[in-house]
Amino acid sequence: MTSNPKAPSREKAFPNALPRPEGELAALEAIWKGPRGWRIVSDVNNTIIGYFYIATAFLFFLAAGALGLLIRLQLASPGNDFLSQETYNQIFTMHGTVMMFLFAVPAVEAVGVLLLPQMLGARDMPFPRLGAFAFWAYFVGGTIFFCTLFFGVAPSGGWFMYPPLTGERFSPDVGADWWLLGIGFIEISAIAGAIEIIVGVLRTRAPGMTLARMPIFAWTMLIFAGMIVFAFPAVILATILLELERAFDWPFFIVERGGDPLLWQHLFWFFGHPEVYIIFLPAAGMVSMIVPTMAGTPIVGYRLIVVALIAVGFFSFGLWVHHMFTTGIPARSLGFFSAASMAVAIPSGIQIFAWIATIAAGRLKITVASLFVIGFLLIFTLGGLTGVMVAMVPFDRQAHDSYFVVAHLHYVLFGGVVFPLFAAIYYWTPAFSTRPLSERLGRWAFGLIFAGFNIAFLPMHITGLIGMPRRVYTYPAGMGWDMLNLVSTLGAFMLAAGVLVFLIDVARNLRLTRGEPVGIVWGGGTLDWLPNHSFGMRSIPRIESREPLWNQAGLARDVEAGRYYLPGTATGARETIVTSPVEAEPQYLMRLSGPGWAHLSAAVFTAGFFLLLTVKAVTLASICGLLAVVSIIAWMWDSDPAPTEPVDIGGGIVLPTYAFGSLSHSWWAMVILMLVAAALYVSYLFGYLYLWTVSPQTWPQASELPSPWSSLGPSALLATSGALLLDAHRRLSQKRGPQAGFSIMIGLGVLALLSGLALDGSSHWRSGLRPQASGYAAMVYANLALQLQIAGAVVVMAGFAIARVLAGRLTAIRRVVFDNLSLFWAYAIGQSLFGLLLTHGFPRMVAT
Amino acid sequence: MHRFMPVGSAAAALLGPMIWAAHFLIVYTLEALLCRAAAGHWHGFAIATVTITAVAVLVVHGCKQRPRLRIEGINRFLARTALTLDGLSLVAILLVTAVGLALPACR
Repeated sequence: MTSNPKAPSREKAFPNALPRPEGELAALEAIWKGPRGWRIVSDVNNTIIGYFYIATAFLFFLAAGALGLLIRLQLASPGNDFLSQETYNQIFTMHGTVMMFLFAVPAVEAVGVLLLPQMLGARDMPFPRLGAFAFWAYFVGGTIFFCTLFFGVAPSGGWFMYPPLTGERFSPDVGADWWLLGIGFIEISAIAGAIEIIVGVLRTRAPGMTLARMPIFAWTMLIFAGMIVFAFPAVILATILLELERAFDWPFFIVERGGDPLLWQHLFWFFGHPEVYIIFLPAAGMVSMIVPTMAGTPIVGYRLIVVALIAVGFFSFGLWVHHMFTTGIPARSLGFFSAASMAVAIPSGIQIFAWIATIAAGRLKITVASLFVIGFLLIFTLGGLTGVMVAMVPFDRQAHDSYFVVAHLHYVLFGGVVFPLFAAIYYWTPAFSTRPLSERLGRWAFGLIFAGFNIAFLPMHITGLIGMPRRVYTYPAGMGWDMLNLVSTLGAFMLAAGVLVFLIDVARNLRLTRGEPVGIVWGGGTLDWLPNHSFGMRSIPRIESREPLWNQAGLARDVEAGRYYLPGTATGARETIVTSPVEAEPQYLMRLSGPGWAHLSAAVFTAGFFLLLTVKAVTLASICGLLAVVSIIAWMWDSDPAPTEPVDIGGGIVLPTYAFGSLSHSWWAMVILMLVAAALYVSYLFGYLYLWTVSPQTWPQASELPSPWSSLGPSALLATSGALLLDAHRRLSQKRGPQAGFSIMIGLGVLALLSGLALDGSSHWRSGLRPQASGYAAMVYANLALQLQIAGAVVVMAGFAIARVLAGRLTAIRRVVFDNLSLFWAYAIGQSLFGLLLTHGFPRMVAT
Repeated sequence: MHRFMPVGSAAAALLGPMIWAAHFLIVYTLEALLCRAAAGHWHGFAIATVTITAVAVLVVHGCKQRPRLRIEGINRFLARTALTLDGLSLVAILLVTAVGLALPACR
């Protein structure tokens, strides 16, 4: 950022003077005009993608809710034969899986995509096509996954898919494969969204919106996305390992050959417990926006809430064994996790008390949104209290796998996520619709949902305590469970009636618009209540407080008039201001991509690749995979526009239109992607060491290991690859830019990386080790598979960089593509070297 | 050219929970490894050592926040956030330690 000496003196301290030049607004509108009609599917604007996302997530909520009703019908009376055992198993598995993976995570991510840019003062998310790709991947993958139910091939092993039940021996059909490949793929979509959210929150805030002034919702989305980065790789690794076991008989979870089914539980719950907070935190963020508005007072304890959110984000990773108290783990280890479960209650309590204090400090308007918030506070607190109960090992041993746990998890998840989502829909609808939702119908909806929920789930605590296990498709009469189950079923249908009333309200009143929504009806103080257009707000204000609409008089009028930063388009493209991550001071102007088809085809073909593998259509899957790569390359080709002259955004601030290195938003995304890869590899490392602790008898003797010298060749090749990377770096930094030698260095470097991995694989193979032999052997080859996965990405990125050099699109200045490649390439070399050390060094160290 | 506060400076506020995570992982992993090596009786000593180290780091980190407390704005916010996170992490570490020392290892 530089100051423009020719800039006129500031008029009334506003960055831009009035009247604005003729045609400025029209140009802005023209650039941000989205496609109409059926072509809307090619749109990438956060508002449209947010609508698609929320609508799809809500459809999955309805579909999974209907499955819940089927479950309740089946259990309404003892000995019922409404559903067969197998159908019941598929239905409860799909109910849990769809609610967790296709509704809860996408729904809160969707609200973030819809609200964050406006709330932060950005024109769009930083990677619009990546966001659209994430949505379409989820939509296509999720829809196909759900449809397996109609063909009787849905998974039936429960939403946490424990082996050995889900292994090839006990689940030989394709249901488990659908889960493993389908859900694994959808998690990749969630990670793509998380990367976009982190970069968006940290780099595209309005000037002056320091971390201390950031809305709590943005804080929660930041922590939500950070948790996804570290939690989801664990379950992605677990799905890879289980699919490798099912497809190729690599025995990671088969005890007879040195595997252990508990490894799945560790990996799954390392994801699964944080997952609860992953979906709860954004919902808590929504509540933290609604409560101050409805109470008419700033939130009490802003900093303490931020602290609580961060603490929950960390502590929730120390709870995974909380779900494994009955698996025979030593008492002291159980105690560690029990203690962590108690510790996480402290920050959770801070949030609850902050909301109560805010309500007490102000005067709460009793709207439908407020009612859902009150419902949330009551139900989630009850769920939290039973959570503390099941966090105590002796109690959990009694309640484990009973209906008490079913009641607890619904109080936490339905209370903690669904109630805030309903509150959010009632609260934010006026910002996007020409009509608000009906307060009258909304009260009916709330009453039915609140009463129905408690009638359905409160009795389940007792049903569980008197012995009814979860996941039984029927039960005999006379166990004392009959009446309680009937009451639960009646409550479930009352809850469904409430949802139906809500749907009627939506059908009657929701009229989405890109033009003139109802606007600010509740008196909110944050930027999401500024007039919103397809380009976001007209001009981007300088923020001076946490509730700028309350504290900066006339802000909405001045923003709309174009008095603040960037009131038009400076380069003739879609743009937003990139600011520094802590103080939010302008650094450069980012140009954003517009509508397109390549990201859409990339999503469809990526889904095709994963889902066709499920039904063993390998040739078709390979073709889809190839087409997905081609689509991604086509999509990325225009994603790094050439620099232009610096531009004046107002207030004497002149910004460059290009940045590289750690200043670039693209660099940040790549670093986060590397964290994802590292989290996946650390999960692998845990699995590797875990199998050694549980089945050392299957580990090789020193004489059975490859020669110690066999790791030298791969190490040398990896070191050569690193040297060639450095040389390519040096060549690009030369003034004359990249020459032919640059591309050759990249090609040779990548070849050296692949050769090193191939040589390592062959050394294990030549020593007689086969992946089917033992858990140890499977882990050695899994290491190679993970390294090749990363190296494969490096190969594609290197080819892309070389193509851009040849096209004159990669220069010493326009170098983001190479910077990204070099980051990931260096990571690949580092991880590969560590893998060599691990798979050659550790077995030798522990061999007898 | 304006010098922006590096993100690492803000991320340093997260040291408390990071220390908690490290402490948690170390004491949990050490139990598995020591029990595997039939040396579980050393685990109590290991917990005490790791806890003392963690508490010392937290105290030093907390003391280092004092100068930032006197600077208005984002510095003060980050320093107070760091201090509170240090306090919460300390409580969580002591909870884990107390439970660890009260229960038998390897059984």
